[in-house]
Amino acid sequence: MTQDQLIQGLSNGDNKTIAWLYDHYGAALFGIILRIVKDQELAENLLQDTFVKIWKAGSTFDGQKASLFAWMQRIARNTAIDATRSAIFKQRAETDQSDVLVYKPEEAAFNPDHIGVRDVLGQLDDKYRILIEKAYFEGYTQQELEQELGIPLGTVKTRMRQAMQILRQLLSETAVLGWWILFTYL
Amino acid sequence: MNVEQYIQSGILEAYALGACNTAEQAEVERMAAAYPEVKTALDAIFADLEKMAFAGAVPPPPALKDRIMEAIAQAQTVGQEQPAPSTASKGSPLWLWLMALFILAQGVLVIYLSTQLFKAKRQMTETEQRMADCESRQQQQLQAAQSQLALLADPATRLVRISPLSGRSETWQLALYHNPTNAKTLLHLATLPPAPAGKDWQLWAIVNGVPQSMGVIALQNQAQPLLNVPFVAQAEAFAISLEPAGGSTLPTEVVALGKAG
Repeated sequence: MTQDQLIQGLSNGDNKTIAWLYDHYGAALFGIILRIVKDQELAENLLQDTFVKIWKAGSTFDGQKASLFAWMQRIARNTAIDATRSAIFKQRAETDQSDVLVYKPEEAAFNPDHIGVRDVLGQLDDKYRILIEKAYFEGYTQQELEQELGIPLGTVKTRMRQAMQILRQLLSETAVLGWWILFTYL
Repeated sequence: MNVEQYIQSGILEAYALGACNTAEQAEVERMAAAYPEVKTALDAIFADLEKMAFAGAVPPPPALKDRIMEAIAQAQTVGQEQPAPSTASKGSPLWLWLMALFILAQGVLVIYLSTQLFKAKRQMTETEQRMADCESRQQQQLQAAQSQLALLADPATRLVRISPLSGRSETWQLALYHNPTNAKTLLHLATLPPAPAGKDWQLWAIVNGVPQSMGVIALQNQAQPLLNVPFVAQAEAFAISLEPAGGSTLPTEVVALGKAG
Protein backbone atom coordinates (compact mmCIF):
# COMPACT_ATOMS: atom_id res chain seq x y z
CA MET A 1 0.00 0.00 0.00
CA THR A 2 1.18 3.51 -0.80
CA GLN A 3 1.07 6.33 1.74
CA ASP A 4 -1.89 7.86 -0.13
CA GLN A 5 -3.78 4.58 -0.15
CA LEU A 6 -3.16 4.19 3.57
CA ILE A 7 -4.35 7.70 4.37
CA GLN A 8 -7.39 7.21 2.14
CA GLY A 9 -8.15 3.84 3.75
CA LEU A 10 -7.73 5.26 7.25
CA SER A 11 -10.07 8.17 6.64
CA ASN A 12 -12.67 5.75 5.22
CA GLY A 13 -12.33 3.39 8.19
CA ASP A 14 -11.45 0.64 5.73
CA ASN A 15 -10.93 -2.78 7.35
CA LYS A 16 -8.29 -3.87 4.87
CA THR A 17 -6.15 -0.85 5.72
CA ILE A 18 -6.40 -1.67 9.44
CA ALA A 19 -5.47 -5.29 8.68
CA TRP A 20 -2.46 -4.11 6.68
CA LEU A 21 -1.36 -1.77 9.48
CA TYR A 22 -1.75 -4.62 11.96
CA ASP A 23 0.35 -6.92 9.84
CA HIS A 24 3.11 -4.32 9.51
CA TYR A 25 3.08 -2.48 12.83
CA GLY A 26 1.17 -4.82 15.18
CA ALA A 27 4.26 -6.51 16.62
CA ALA A 28 6.17 -3.23 17.05
CA LEU A 29 3.23 -1.66 18.86
CA PHE A 30 2.68 -4.81 20.90
CA GLY A 31 6.33 -4.66 21.97
CA ILE A 32 5.86 -1.09 23.19
CA ILE A 33 2.64 -1.90 25.04
CA LEU A 34 4.08 -5.04 26.58
CA ARG A 35 7.09 -3.14 27.80
CA ILE A 36 4.83 -0.54 29.41
CA VAL A 37 2.30 -2.82 31.13
CA LYS A 38 4.50 -5.93 31.57
CA ASP A 39 1.48 -8.22 31.33
CA GLN A 40 0.76 -10.40 28.32
CA GLU A 41 -3.03 -10.59 28.65
CA LEU A 42 -3.48 -6.92 29.44
CA ALA A 43 -1.14 -6.02 26.56
CA GLU A 44 -3.29 -8.06 24.17
CA ASN A 45 -6.41 -6.19 25.27
CA LEU A 46 -4.61 -2.87 24.98
CA LEU A 47 -3.38 -3.71 21.49
CA GLN A 48 -7.00 -4.33 20.58
CA ASP A 49 -8.00 -0.98 22.12
CA THR A 50 -5.17 0.66 20.20
CA PHE A 51 -6.31 -0.64 16.84
CA VAL A 52 -9.95 0.21 17.54
CA LYS A 53 -8.75 3.75 18.33
CA ILE A 54 -6.62 3.83 15.18
CA TRP A 55 -9.67 2.77 13.17
CA LYS A 56 -11.93 5.30 14.90
CA ALA A 57 -9.48 8.21 14.69
CA GLY A 58 -8.31 7.30 11.18
CA SER A 59 -9.82 10.38 9.58
CA THR A 60 -7.87 12.67 11.96
CA PHE A 61 -4.48 11.37 10.83
CA ASP A 62 -2.50 14.13 9.13
CA GLY A 63 0.44 12.83 7.11
CA GLN A 64 1.89 16.35 6.88
CA LYS A 65 2.25 16.69 10.64
CA ALA A 66 3.48 13.25 11.63
CA SER A 67 4.51 9.93 10.16
CA LEU A 68 2.12 7.02 10.32
CA PHE A 69 4.26 5.28 12.93
CA ALA A 70 4.64 8.43 15.03
CA TRP A 71 0.87 8.75 15.10
CA MET A 72 0.19 5.08 15.88
CA GLN A 73 2.89 4.67 18.54
CA ARG A 74 1.47 7.71 20.31
CA ILE A 75 -1.97 6.07 20.45
CA ALA A 76 -0.50 2.75 21.61
CA ARG A 77 1.76 4.39 24.20
CA ASN A 78 -0.99 6.65 25.58
CA THR A 79 -3.41 3.72 25.77
CA ALA A 80 -0.90 1.61 27.67
CA ILE A 81 0.28 4.37 30.02
CA ASP A 82 -3.33 5.29 30.80
CA ALA A 83 -3.90 1.65 31.71
CA THR A 84 -0.95 1.68 34.14
CA ARG A 85 -2.48 4.70 35.84
CA SER A 86 -5.81 2.94 36.44
CA ALA A 87 -6.58 1.87 39.99
CA ILE A 88 -6.83 -1.81 39.09
CA PHE A 89 -3.41 -1.85 37.49
CA LYS A 90 -1.77 -0.14 40.45
CA GLN A 91 -3.38 -2.60 42.85
CA ARG A 92 -2.12 -5.51 40.81
CA ALA A 93 1.36 -4.05 40.53
CA GLU A 94 1.53 -3.81 44.32
CA THR A 95 0.63 -7.43 44.86
CA ASP A 96 2.88 -8.59 42.02
CA GLN A 97 6.39 -7.76 43.11
CA SER A 98 8.14 -9.27 40.13
CA ASP A 99 9.35 -6.63 37.76
CA VAL A 100 10.18 -8.92 34.88
CA LEU A 101 8.44 -8.89 31.53
CA VAL A 102 5.76 -11.52 31.30
CA TYR A 103 6.58 -13.59 28.26
CA LYS A 104 5.26 -16.99 27.49
CA PRO A 105 8.14 -19.49 27.68
CA GLU A 106 7.53 -20.97 24.21
CA GLU A 107 7.70 -17.52 22.68
CA ALA A 108 10.85 -16.72 24.57
CA ALA A 109 12.48 -19.88 23.25
CA PHE A 110 12.84 -18.53 19.75
CA ASN A 111 12.02 -14.90 19.33
CA PRO A 112 14.92 -12.64 18.59
CA ASP A 113 12.71 -9.57 18.47
CA HIS A 114 11.88 -9.02 22.08
CA ILE A 115 15.53 -9.01 23.00
CA GLY A 116 15.95 -5.93 20.82
CA VAL A 117 14.81 -3.05 22.97
CA ARG A 118 16.43 -4.48 26.04
CA ASP A 119 19.67 -5.04 24.26
CA VAL A 120 19.68 -1.68 22.58
CA LEU A 121 18.65 0.17 25.72
CA GLY A 122 20.91 -2.07 27.77
CA GLN A 123 23.87 -0.82 25.79
CA LEU A 124 23.12 2.71 26.87
CA ASP A 125 24.72 4.23 29.90
CA ASP A 126 22.30 4.04 32.87
CA LYS A 127 21.91 7.82 33.04
CA TYR A 128 20.57 7.78 29.47
CA ARG A 129 18.68 4.52 29.66
CA ILE A 130 16.67 5.59 32.68
CA LEU A 131 15.54 8.77 30.91
CA ILE A 132 14.19 6.87 27.93
CA GLU A 133 12.60 4.16 30.07
CA LYS A 134 10.92 6.61 32.42
CA ALA A 135 9.81 9.03 29.72
CA TYR A 136 8.81 6.70 26.93
CA PHE A 137 7.71 3.59 28.80
CA GLU A 138 6.49 5.06 32.08
CA GLY A 139 5.09 8.37 30.89
CA TYR A 140 7.17 10.79 32.95
CA THR A 141 7.27 14.43 31.80
CA GLN A 142 10.51 16.40 31.78
CA GLN A 143 9.40 18.25 34.88
CA GLU A 144 8.66 14.98 36.67
CA LEU A 145 12.04 13.61 35.64
CA GLU A 146 13.69 16.75 36.98
CA GLN A 147 12.14 16.10 40.38
CA GLU A 148 12.49 12.30 40.32
CA LEU A 149 16.13 12.26 39.26
CA GLY A 150 17.15 15.54 40.90
CA ILE A 151 18.71 16.97 37.76
CA PRO A 152 18.00 20.36 36.16
CA LEU A 153 15.45 20.58 33.36
CA GLY A 154 18.12 21.70 30.89
CA THR A 155 20.17 18.61 31.70
CA VAL A 156 17.14 16.37 31.28
CA LYS A 157 16.70 17.74 27.76
CA THR A 158 20.36 17.52 26.73
CA ARG A 159 20.67 14.00 28.11
CA MET A 160 17.57 13.00 26.21
CA ARG A 161 19.13 14.31 23.03
CA GLN A 162 22.38 12.50 23.73
CA ALA A 163 20.52 9.30 24.58
CA MET A 164 18.63 9.37 21.32
CA GLN A 165 21.79 10.05 19.34
CA ILE A 166 23.58 7.08 20.88
CA LEU A 167 20.51 5.01 20.24
CA ARG A 168 20.54 6.06 16.61
CA GLN A 169 24.08 4.73 16.23
CA LEU A 170 23.24 1.48 17.96
CA LEU A 171 20.12 0.99 15.89
CA SER A 172 21.95 1.49 12.63
CA GLU A 173 24.25 -1.40 13.42
CA THR A 174 23.75 -4.44 11.22
CA ALA A 175 22.69 -6.81 13.96
CA VAL A 176 19.59 -4.83 14.84
CA LEU A 177 18.83 -4.24 11.18
CA GLY A 178 19.15 -7.98 10.66
CA TRP A 179 16.56 -8.62 13.36
CA TRP A 180 14.32 -6.04 11.84
CA ILE A 181 14.61 -7.64 8.42
CA LEU A 182 14.04 -11.06 9.98
CA PHE A 183 10.96 -9.74 11.71
CA THR A 184 9.47 -8.13 8.62
CA TYR A 185 9.87 -11.49 6.89
CA LEU A 186 8.10 -13.25 9.72
CA MET B 1 17.12 31.37 20.24
CA ASN B 2 17.76 30.38 16.65
CA VAL B 3 16.39 27.27 14.98
CA GLU B 4 19.62 25.30 15.29
CA GLN B 5 19.80 25.95 19.00
CA TYR B 6 16.18 24.94 19.33
CA ILE B 7 16.87 21.62 17.59
CA GLN B 8 19.92 20.97 19.77
CA SER B 9 18.15 21.86 23.04
CA GLY B 10 16.71 18.35 23.29
CA ILE B 11 13.09 19.54 23.29
CA LEU B 12 12.39 17.55 20.11
CA GLU B 13 13.63 14.35 21.75
CA ALA B 14 11.53 15.10 24.81
CA TYR B 15 8.55 15.61 22.51
CA ALA B 16 9.13 12.34 20.66
CA LEU B 17 9.57 10.45 23.93
CA GLY B 18 6.26 11.91 25.13
CA ALA B 19 7.83 13.90 27.98
CA CYS B 20 6.45 17.31 27.01
CA ASN B 21 3.57 19.01 28.71
CA THR B 22 0.74 20.38 26.55
CA ALA B 23 2.27 23.87 26.23
CA GLU B 24 5.60 22.43 25.12
CA GLN B 25 3.86 20.07 22.71
CA ALA B 26 2.03 22.95 21.08
CA GLU B 27 5.29 24.89 20.80
CA VAL B 28 7.14 21.99 19.15
CA GLU B 29 4.30 21.46 16.70
CA ARG B 30 4.26 25.16 15.86
CA MET B 31 8.03 25.18 15.32
CA ALA B 32 7.89 22.04 13.17
CA ALA B 33 5.19 23.61 11.01
CA ALA B 34 7.14 26.85 10.69
CA TYR B 35 10.68 25.50 10.15
CA PRO B 36 11.38 22.59 7.78
CA GLU B 37 14.70 21.91 9.61
CA VAL B 38 12.78 21.33 12.83
CA LYS B 39 10.34 19.04 11.05
CA THR B 40 13.19 17.07 9.47
CA ALA B 41 14.97 16.67 12.80
CA LEU B 42 11.74 15.57 14.48
CA ASP B 43 10.98 13.05 11.73
CA ALA B 44 14.47 11.60 12.16
CA ILE B 45 13.89 11.13 15.90
CA PHE B 46 10.59 9.40 15.25
CA ALA B 47 12.33 7.22 12.67
CA ASP B 48 14.76 6.17 15.42
CA LEU B 49 11.89 5.42 17.76
CA GLU B 50 10.32 3.37 15.00
CA LYS B 51 13.52 1.39 14.61
CA MET B 52 13.66 0.90 18.35
CA ALA B 53 10.08 -0.33 18.33
CA PHE B 54 10.81 -2.75 15.50
CA ALA B 55 13.91 -3.92 17.34
CA GLY B 56 11.70 -4.61 20.34
CA ALA B 57 8.75 -5.95 18.37
CA VAL B 58 6.92 -8.90 19.91
CA PRO B 59 4.59 -10.83 17.63
CA PRO B 60 1.18 -10.91 19.24
CA PRO B 61 -0.61 -14.30 19.44
CA PRO B 62 -1.92 -15.20 15.96
CA ALA B 63 -5.56 -15.31 17.17
CA LEU B 64 -5.40 -11.68 18.30
CA LYS B 65 -5.64 -10.30 14.77
CA ASP B 66 -9.04 -11.94 14.17
CA ARG B 67 -10.25 -10.77 17.55
CA ILE B 68 -9.23 -7.18 16.81
CA MET B 69 -10.72 -7.21 13.31
CA GLU B 70 -13.92 -8.60 14.79
CA ALA B 71 -13.98 -5.88 17.46
CA ILE B 72 -13.63 -3.27 14.71
CA ALA B 73 -16.35 -4.92 12.63
CA GLN B 74 -18.61 -4.83 15.69
CA ALA B 75 -17.76 -1.20 16.35
CA GLN B 76 -18.64 -0.53 12.70
CA THR B 77 -22.08 -2.08 12.98
CA VAL B 78 -22.68 -0.27 16.26
CA GLY B 79 -21.60 2.95 14.58
CA GLN B 80 -24.05 2.34 11.76
CA GLU B 81 -26.90 1.54 14.10
CA GLN B 82 -26.18 4.38 16.48
CA PRO B 83 -27.65 7.28 14.47
CA ALA B 84 -31.17 5.85 14.63
CA PRO B 85 -31.43 5.49 18.44
CA SER B 86 -29.58 8.77 18.99
CA THR B 87 -32.11 10.76 16.93
CA ALA B 88 -34.88 8.84 18.63
CA SER B 89 -33.52 9.75 22.06
CA LYS B 90 -33.07 13.35 20.90
CA GLY B 91 -36.72 13.60 19.97
CA SER B 92 -37.78 11.65 23.01
CA PRO B 93 -39.65 14.39 24.95
CA LEU B 94 -42.26 14.97 22.22
CA TRP B 95 -42.25 11.32 21.34
CA LEU B 96 -42.76 10.37 24.96
CA TRP B 97 -45.56 12.90 25.38
CA LEU B 98 -47.36 11.60 22.32
CA MET B 99 -46.96 8.09 23.60
CA ALA B 100 -48.30 9.04 27.02
CA LEU B 101 -51.21 10.89 25.39
CA PHE B 102 -51.93 7.89 23.25
CA ILE B 103 -51.94 5.56 26.25
CA LEU B 104 -54.16 7.99 28.17
CA ALA B 105 -56.57 8.21 25.23
CA GLN B 106 -56.62 4.45 25.05
CA GLY B 107 -57.37 4.25 28.76
CA VAL B 108 -60.28 6.70 28.40
CA LEU B 109 -61.56 4.78 25.41
CA VAL B 110 -61.38 1.50 27.32
CA ILE B 111 -63.31 2.97 30.25
CA TYR B 112 -65.92 4.52 27.91
CA LEU B 113 -66.33 1.31 25.94
CA SER B 114 -66.57 -0.86 29.03
CA THR B 115 -69.28 1.38 30.54
CA GLN B 116 -71.11 1.27 27.21
CA LEU B 117 -70.77 -2.48 27.16
CA PHE B 118 -72.05 -2.67 30.74
CA LYS B 119 -75.02 -0.47 29.85
CA ALA B 120 -75.79 -2.49 26.76
CA LYS B 121 -75.61 -5.70 28.75
CA ARG B 122 -77.95 -4.32 31.37
CA GLN B 123 -80.37 -3.10 28.72
CA MET B 124 -80.25 -6.48 27.06
CA THR B 125 -81.01 -8.19 30.38
CA GLU B 126 -83.88 -5.80 30.98
CA THR B 127 -85.24 -6.39 27.49
CA GLU B 128 -84.94 -10.11 27.94
CA GLN B 129 -86.74 -9.79 31.27
CA ARG B 130 -89.47 -7.69 29.64
CA MET B 131 -89.77 -10.14 26.79
CA ALA B 132 -90.04 -13.02 29.24
CA ASP B 133 -92.65 -11.08 31.26
CA CYS B 134 -94.50 -10.26 28.08
CA GLU B 135 -94.36 -13.85 26.98
CA SER B 136 -95.59 -15.16 30.32
CA ARG B 137 -98.34 -12.52 30.32
CA GLN B 138 -99.34 -13.53 26.83
CA GLN B 139 -99.19 -17.13 27.92
CA GLN B 140 -101.44 -16.32 30.85
CA GLN B 141 -103.80 -14.36 28.61
CA LEU B 142 -103.78 -17.17 26.08
CA GLN B 143 -104.50 -19.71 28.84
CA ALA B 144 -107.20 -17.48 30.22
CA ALA B 145 -108.67 -17.04 26.75
CA GLN B 146 -108.44 -20.78 26.15
CA SER B 147 -110.11 -21.61 29.46
CA GLN B 148 -112.78 -18.99 28.72
CA LEU B 149 -113.24 -20.48 25.25
CA ALA B 150 -113.42 -23.97 26.79
CA LEU B 151 -116.04 -22.65 29.20
CA LEU B 152 -118.06 -21.13 26.38
CA ALA B 153 -117.82 -24.39 24.44
CA ASP B 154 -118.89 -26.40 27.49
CA PRO B 155 -122.51 -27.72 27.01
CA ALA B 156 -123.09 -27.18 30.76
CA THR B 157 -122.59 -23.45 30.32
CA ARG B 158 -125.78 -21.46 30.27
CA LEU B 159 -126.14 -18.08 28.60
CA VAL B 160 -127.84 -15.35 30.60
CA ARG B 161 -128.89 -12.21 28.70
CA ILE B 162 -128.80 -9.10 30.86
CA SER B 163 -131.08 -6.55 29.28
CA PRO B 164 -132.07 -3.03 30.41
CA LEU B 165 -135.23 -2.84 32.41
CA SER B 166 -138.33 -1.66 30.54
CA GLY B 167 -138.64 2.12 30.58
CA ARG B 168 -134.89 2.73 30.58
CA SER B 169 -133.08 4.47 27.78
CA GLU B 170 -130.14 2.03 27.57
CA THR B 171 -130.08 -0.18 24.51
CA TRP B 172 -127.12 -2.45 25.29
CA GLN B 173 -127.34 -6.10 26.24
CA LEU B 174 -124.75 -8.06 28.17
CA ALA B 175 -124.08 -11.77 27.88
CA LEU B 176 -123.19 -13.67 31.07
CA TYR B 177 -121.98 -17.26 30.88
CA HIS B 178 -122.76 -19.30 33.96
CA ASN B 179 -121.35 -22.82 34.45
CA PRO B 180 -122.48 -24.53 37.68
CA THR B 181 -120.48 -27.67 36.87
CA ASN B 182 -117.15 -25.83 36.78
CA ALA B 183 -118.29 -23.13 39.23
CA LYS B 184 -117.27 -20.35 36.83
CA THR B 185 -118.97 -17.23 35.54
CA LEU B 186 -117.96 -14.96 32.66
CA LEU B 187 -119.39 -11.57 31.77
CA HIS B 188 -119.11 -10.25 28.22
CA LEU B 189 -118.57 -6.50 28.44
CA ALA B 190 -118.18 -5.58 24.78
CA THR B 191 -121.20 -3.32 24.55
CA LEU B 192 -121.15 -1.82 28.05
CA PRO B 193 -120.41 1.92 27.85
CA PRO B 194 -118.35 3.59 30.55
CA ALA B 195 -120.33 4.60 33.61
CA PRO B 196 -121.19 8.32 33.95
CA ALA B 197 -118.68 10.46 35.85
CA GLY B 198 -118.56 9.67 39.57
CA LYS B 199 -120.43 6.42 39.06
CA ASP B 200 -119.55 2.72 38.64
CA TRP B 201 -121.34 -0.24 37.18
CA GLN B 202 -121.85 -2.99 39.77
CA LEU B 203 -122.86 -6.62 39.11
CA TRP B 204 -125.27 -8.42 41.37
CA ALA B 205 -126.50 -11.98 41.79
CA ILE B 206 -130.04 -12.45 43.06
CA VAL B 207 -130.24 -15.35 45.49
CA ASN B 208 -133.67 -16.09 47.01
CA GLY B 209 -134.77 -12.61 46.01
CA VAL B 210 -131.82 -10.98 47.79
CA PRO B 211 -129.14 -9.10 45.74
CA GLN B 212 -125.59 -10.21 46.43
CA SER B 213 -122.70 -8.09 45.14
CA MET B 214 -120.41 -9.69 42.55
CA GLY B 215 -118.21 -6.63 42.45
CA VAL B 216 -117.70 -3.36 40.63
CA ILE B 217 -117.11 -3.84 36.92
CA ALA B 218 -113.70 -2.64 35.86
CA LEU B 219 -113.79 -1.40 32.26
CA GLN B 220 -110.09 -0.62 31.74
CA ASN B 221 -109.21 -3.54 29.53
CA GLN B 222 -111.20 -3.27 26.32
CA ALA B 223 -108.99 -5.89 24.72
CA GLN B 224 -110.39 -8.43 27.16
CA PRO B 225 -114.11 -8.19 26.84
CA LEU B 226 -114.71 -11.43 28.75
CA LEU B 227 -114.43 -10.76 32.47
CA ASN B 228 -114.16 -13.54 35.04
CA VAL B 229 -116.61 -12.72 37.78
CA PRO B 230 -117.23 -14.50 41.10
CA PHE B 231 -119.37 -17.66 40.90
CA VAL B 232 -122.57 -17.59 42.86
CA ALA B 233 -124.12 -21.09 42.95
CA GLN B 234 -127.75 -20.31 43.78
CA ALA B 235 -128.13 -17.26 41.53
CA GLU B 236 -131.61 -16.90 40.16
CA ALA B 237 -130.85 -13.78 38.22
CA PHE B 238 -128.05 -11.28 37.55
CA ALA B 239 -128.38 -7.52 37.61
CA ILE B 240 -126.32 -4.45 36.67
CA SER B 241 -126.77 -1.32 38.71
CA LEU B 242 -125.37 2.18 38.60
CA GLU B 243 -123.69 2.99 41.91
CA PRO B 244 -121.64 5.77 43.41
CA ALA B 245 -117.94 5.30 42.65
CA GLY B 246 -116.54 2.30 44.54
CA GLY B 247 -119.84 0.43 44.66
CA SER B 248 -122.49 -0.15 47.33
CA THR B 249 -123.60 -3.02 49.58
CA LEU B 250 -127.11 -2.83 48.15
CA PRO B 251 -128.08 -1.77 44.63
CA THR B 252 -129.14 1.89 44.32
CA GLU B 253 -130.31 2.07 40.71
CA VAL B 254 -130.76 -1.24 38.94
CA VAL B 255 -130.31 -0.72 35.19
CA ALA B 256 -130.49 -4.20 33.66
CA LEU B 257 -131.54 -7.65 34.67
CA GLY B 258 -131.23 -11.17 33.32
CA LYS B 259 -132.82 -14.32 34.67
CA ALA B 260 -130.81 -17.47 34.95
CA GLY B 261 -132.24 -20.63 33.35
